[in-house]
Amino acid sequence: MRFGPCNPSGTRASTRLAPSNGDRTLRLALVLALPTIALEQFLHTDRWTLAALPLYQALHWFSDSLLALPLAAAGVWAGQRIATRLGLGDSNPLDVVGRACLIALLFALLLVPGAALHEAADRLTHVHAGSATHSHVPLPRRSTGGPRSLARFAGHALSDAFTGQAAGLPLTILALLWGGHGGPLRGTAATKTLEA
Amino acid sequence: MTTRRTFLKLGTAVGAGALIRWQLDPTSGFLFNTVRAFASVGTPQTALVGGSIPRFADPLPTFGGRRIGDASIDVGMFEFQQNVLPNALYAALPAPFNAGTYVWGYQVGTAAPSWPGATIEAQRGRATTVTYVNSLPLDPVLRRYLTIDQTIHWADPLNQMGSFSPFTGPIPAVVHLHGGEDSSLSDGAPEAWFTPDGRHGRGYSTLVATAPNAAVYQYPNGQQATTLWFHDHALGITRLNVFAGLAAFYLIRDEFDTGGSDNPLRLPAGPQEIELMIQDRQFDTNGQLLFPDSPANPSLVDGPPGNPGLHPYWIPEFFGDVICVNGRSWPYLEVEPRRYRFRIVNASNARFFRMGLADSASSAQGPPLWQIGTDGGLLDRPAKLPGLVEPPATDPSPTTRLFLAPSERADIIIDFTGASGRRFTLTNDAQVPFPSGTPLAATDPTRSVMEFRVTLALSGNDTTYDPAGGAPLRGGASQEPIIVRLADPSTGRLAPGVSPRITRQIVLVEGEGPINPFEGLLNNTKWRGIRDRAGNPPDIPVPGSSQDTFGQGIWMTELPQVGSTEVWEFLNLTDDAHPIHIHLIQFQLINRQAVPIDPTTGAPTYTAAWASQFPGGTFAGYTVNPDGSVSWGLVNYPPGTMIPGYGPPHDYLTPNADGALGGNPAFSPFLQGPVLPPMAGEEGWKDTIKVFPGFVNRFVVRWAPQAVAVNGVQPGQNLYPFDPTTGPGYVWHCHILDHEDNEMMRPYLPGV
Repeated sequence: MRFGPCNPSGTRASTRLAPSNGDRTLRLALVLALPTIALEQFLHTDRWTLAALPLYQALHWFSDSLLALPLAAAGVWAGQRIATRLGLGDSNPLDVVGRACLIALLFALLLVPGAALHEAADRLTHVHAGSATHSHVPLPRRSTGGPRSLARFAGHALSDAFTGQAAGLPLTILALLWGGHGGPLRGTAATKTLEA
Repeated sequence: MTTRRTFLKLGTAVGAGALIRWQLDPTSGFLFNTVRAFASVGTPQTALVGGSIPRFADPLPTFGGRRIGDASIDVGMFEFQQNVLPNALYAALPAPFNAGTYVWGYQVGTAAPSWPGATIEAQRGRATTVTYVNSLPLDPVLRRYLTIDQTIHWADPLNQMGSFSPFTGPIPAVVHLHGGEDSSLSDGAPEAWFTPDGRHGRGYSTLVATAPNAAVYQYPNGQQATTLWFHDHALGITRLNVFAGLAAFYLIRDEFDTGGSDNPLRLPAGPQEIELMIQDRQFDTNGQLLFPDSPANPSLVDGPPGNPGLHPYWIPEFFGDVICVNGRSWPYLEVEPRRYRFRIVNASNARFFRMGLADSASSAQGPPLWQIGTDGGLLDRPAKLPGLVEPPATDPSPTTRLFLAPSERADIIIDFTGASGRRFTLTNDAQVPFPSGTPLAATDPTRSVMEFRVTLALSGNDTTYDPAGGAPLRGGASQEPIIVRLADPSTGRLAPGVSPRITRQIVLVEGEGPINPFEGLLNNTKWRGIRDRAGNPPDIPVPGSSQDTFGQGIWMTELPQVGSTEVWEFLNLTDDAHPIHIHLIQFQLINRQAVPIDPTTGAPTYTAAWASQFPGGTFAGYTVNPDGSVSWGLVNYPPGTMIPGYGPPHDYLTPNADGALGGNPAFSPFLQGPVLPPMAGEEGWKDTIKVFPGFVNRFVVRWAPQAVAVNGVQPGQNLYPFDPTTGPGYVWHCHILDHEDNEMMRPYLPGV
């Protein structure tokens, strides 16, 4: 077992003093997923249901966000890699915005199959039954029965996903700017040192 | 390590999300019950006296500007709170009651959910596809108020039928478009229910695959422009679902009755065309709905359930002491001094309304009601209903008032011209039950329905159709052709050229318990068409019946041929009138004629002659226990005694001395008095007609679109744009909802 150097207060520091790439990815994924899913849910839930069952809706949102976290993480990871390869930096604000847009775009695309998984989860857990709730709970015109309805479903899901980015993207930009540095995913001296 | 740790964290997050989601599942979760449910409320209720509620305190909710006319519409069923009583009353209540009365209602398209739901406005000749979604909560607040009796034959999603415990599972629902000419696959058959968690009745069907808690129906809208309404129709729970608010209007428009201010008929339109859904309700001191279910919450008229050993919570009829119009108690409507068109439905469980207008200040007679249409469309000419104050009707004697039984509709015009500054009360004087109930007391709050206040300034010259001129509504240029007459209302006879293929003679009876009836029966036959042996085998179908082919386990006796015309004669052997509704078709009343049924007169009665035909035997009935309580059991009926649920005394298909089917002794030897033609408001197309006690009530019915000429269809010929001979079938029933829920309904299916 390794211990890091003591900090000025004398307490033990660990290797987590600085967040790892994985941690940064997860945090960014959370920043992306929570508001995106929140906005989607808000737009798809009538106000009467929101008012009647606020805690239920909050738990529903939190659970959906956690379930979508792998998709958001994948979006962050892939977006960062592509941005780096495209030569986008992590300090220039314009580069950061571009980086965030890439991440949001990938997350939105991943949310299309995610919508199908979400619908399956809704069916499995009778979300439509628990309360008067989501209007995007399966309706026949959105069934995946034929190519046309499949395309309609995908289009709807994509539209939803992009709409959700209205909340996710700004927060992702802020997180990247504030947290500095989406940074390279591997090979920085700092992370290598910490992980050694 | 980073990768492993990251994936571990991701996995934990997903696991937590899945756990939360699992526990949110209302069918399996146990952690978040309080989160899923609305704020807990207790069931004990203290009745709010209807007479103590201020009347005419709030404006009438209207649907103008928010009718839904799309070809494809989503209709959800929701629970929510709505101000039904005066706003000031809620302000004084604690939470959560101060947010309104819990109701169930339809969310129609993009309109907000409401009771009644927003009106659907369909165009003749253009189909409307509706996706009905049962989004009621699994643990609805109202289920704690509206006790669901499982001892009546009902939808029974959890297979608990017969239990004396109230039902606590998911609410079954299905929607029927009342008066619609549509396929039985879209008719909302009683067994076609579906629950919020996706359970289905054996008659369930959907036009296209959909979510398990939904069904897709299609209405061809091939019939004439008229006022329809849609409401819940689930087996054995309709009375509670409709009481809770699951009802809305459905208007069919055509090129004449367009709904626009430039409509060729010049009927009042726009803000001057208003739907009125009239319903009686009872409330508690928290402003919540009260449905009598026990001695703690007794009915105003019938008392607590009279036979708790048979049906612990069901009551024969619900009568409330608060009149609601469009989901508001005793509302008012501000009008201009001009003509208005009102599309009225009596959507009450059991209350009849006989209405007129009276000056609110002086009680003097107000303007007449001009009836221009009935259930199935416009009349040929307007009928003047002066609305005179009359003694309570005890028979079908003509009335000058607007007389509507549950589910009957009327299209009326009121002319407020010259009445600026005056107020008029829409009055009611129908006794409950009708007609055997006592006359309404002078102070009875149900004597008033709503108020019209002629307080708005005239916004322009009134050039609309004036019914006082008597000009025809049909048969002219830019008008619908005159009504195809199957019956001649002037003579009370069949119209020339009408040749009924079959005459059926059917009796209406009640199973009498020690206190009050425990069920109503059509032709003494239960819903399933099985002679009731209290669960003891063998099941014996009523002779002459055929089993349905949709797998619903029901036996049908009325199997008319599509395209054929028949006469159905209903002899009502009970004390009260029953509004009889036949699905799929619009039909016409031929006449009524008295038959003696009262044994106290000493004269021979049909009832006695009918009962004498029963052969006796051991069948279900009630037994009185030593402690005085009553319970179900097998009863040995001696010959010559009516056996409830046995069916008619003879084979249904063997013609009687009148040549009529139905399995009953002939009516003709008992006919008395003159033939009474239809009343003024009954002379058009009807889908619900009052069947008066002690009378044979004769309907002429035809299984063809209403616009088809008298000889325009032959037996076996299907002129509908769909096949009415397939699917779960249709029903005919008493539209007193408490009756139709408890056996007073029969399935039927047209054949080829």
